[in-house]
Order: sequence, then structure tokens, then C-alpha cells
Amino acid sequence: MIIDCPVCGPRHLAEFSYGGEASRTPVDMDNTDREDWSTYVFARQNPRGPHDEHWQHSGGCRSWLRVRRDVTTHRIEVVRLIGPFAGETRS
Amino acid sequence: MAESMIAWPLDGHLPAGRHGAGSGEAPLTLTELRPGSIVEVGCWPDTLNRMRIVLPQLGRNATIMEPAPGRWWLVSPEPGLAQELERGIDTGLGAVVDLSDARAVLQVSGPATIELMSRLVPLDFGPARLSTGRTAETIAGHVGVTLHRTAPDCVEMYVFRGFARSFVHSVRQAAAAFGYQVV
Repeated sequence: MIIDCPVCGPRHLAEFSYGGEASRTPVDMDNTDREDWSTYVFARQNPRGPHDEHWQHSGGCRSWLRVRRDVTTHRIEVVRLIGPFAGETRS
Repeated sequence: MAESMIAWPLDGHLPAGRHGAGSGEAPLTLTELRPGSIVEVGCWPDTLNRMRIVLPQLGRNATIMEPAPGRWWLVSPEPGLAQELERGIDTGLGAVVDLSDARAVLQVSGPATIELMSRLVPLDFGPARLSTGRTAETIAGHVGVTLHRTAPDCVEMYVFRGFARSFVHSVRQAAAAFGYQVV
């Protein structure tokens, strides 16, 4: 599988680390509700088809990416740079 | 630091002479480069444009690489570049980290360079990708390396100093198939 890193260009899967499903939102740290935390920690959409997920280019530029990947075909539709430099490129 | 105190990472691990396959002129030349300064500079999202203007002025004759937005490497033959940059970059603009003692630098040159690199790193060296002058961060044998292609047949590899010996060992193993000289 090849991920087209917005910073580095297309790179092999060996350079990336999986960062989990991207669609879940973190629970407020002041929230002590067990149900909310259980959902955040354990519940996944686990779709058969396109899946939004985080990847880190750990063996490259170390940027975090948001990737839309079809889990049945590994076809990647969108890769976006996230974090403080989202939208920027190398000059 | 006085020159006499410096222990270079590949001292004694890259013996000069001709090695590996064949005889006569080798298609590969390996050299340990010994830059006086390797410095990483980072900036904040709102100082990106300012840093892009300021850094070439502060870095003067240093080679400037930009592995990712907001992160730069400056390499200079002169020591003391980190201290110089620290004077020009305050915490409002960015941060400076001296990597001079943290990396080993190995230069590969010669007509077999790209063929050798393709045995070491999962990278496309075509003109649209890592063309001359470009830099890339990648992995070689699970070890992170920063590559700088300085000419069509010349690549400089920056590797963590602690991994330098095993990295050079793997490079020499791969280079032996072509034949190489150490200068």
C-alpha cells in the first residue's frame, strides 16, 4: 500500500504508523461519565468500505495525516495534512 | 570544541581503499562527511512566512533543507552555527536545536549511486521525486535517514549517530555487489 503524503509524496506503507479511526471526538477531560469514555475508547464504526483514519508518517516527515481509505480495496481517496501546519507545503 | 577532541562517528569503520566486487575503478565512492554544524530549526504556524525570509539570511552560506513545513536543517562546514542562529531566533520566532554531534553523514557518489540507494531505501529517485537538490526523510533497515541528493549521482545520508556503525555496515554490504572505494 502506498500513501501519498502531502509533504513527501507517495511513500511505502513501511514508513507509516496507524493512528486509529479519525471520526471519533475526544471526551472532555472533566467529563467523568463512564458511558461517554467507554464509547470514545472502545466504540468504532468499523465500516466495510471507505474509512477515515489517522496515520503518522513516522518514518518520514513525522507529520500526522487524515486518510480516507477503503478497507476492502486499500484504495485511498483523500490524504490531508493535519496539525498546526495543515494546508502548508514545503517551499 | 577543539579539533583534537572530536571523535567522528565512523572513525575506523570505513577503511580507505577499494572493496567489494570487480577491480579497477569502482562505480561507487563512500566518504564520511564531517560538517562543522548540523542544526535543526523549527517555527510556529504563525511565523512560517517570516522564518522563510529570515532563515536564509541568518544561515548565510549554510545548506538549507526543508524536510517538512515549519522544520529546517542547516548544514555548514563551519562550527558554531547553532549559537549564531540562537542569537537571531528568539522563542517568539522559533526554536533551534544543535544536531552537530547527533548525526553521522555518509556520502555516496559514482554511477551506481541510485542503484545502490534503491537497495537501501523505499524511495523513487525519478526526476519528479527526489531530483537533484531535493531532500527526503525515509527509513533504511528501520532506521530513520535524511537524504540530500546533491548531484544526479551523489547522495548524502544523515543517520542517527548511535546507529551509524550498523547503518554503514548495511551500506557496505549493499555496495560490495558493485565494488566501492572509500575516500
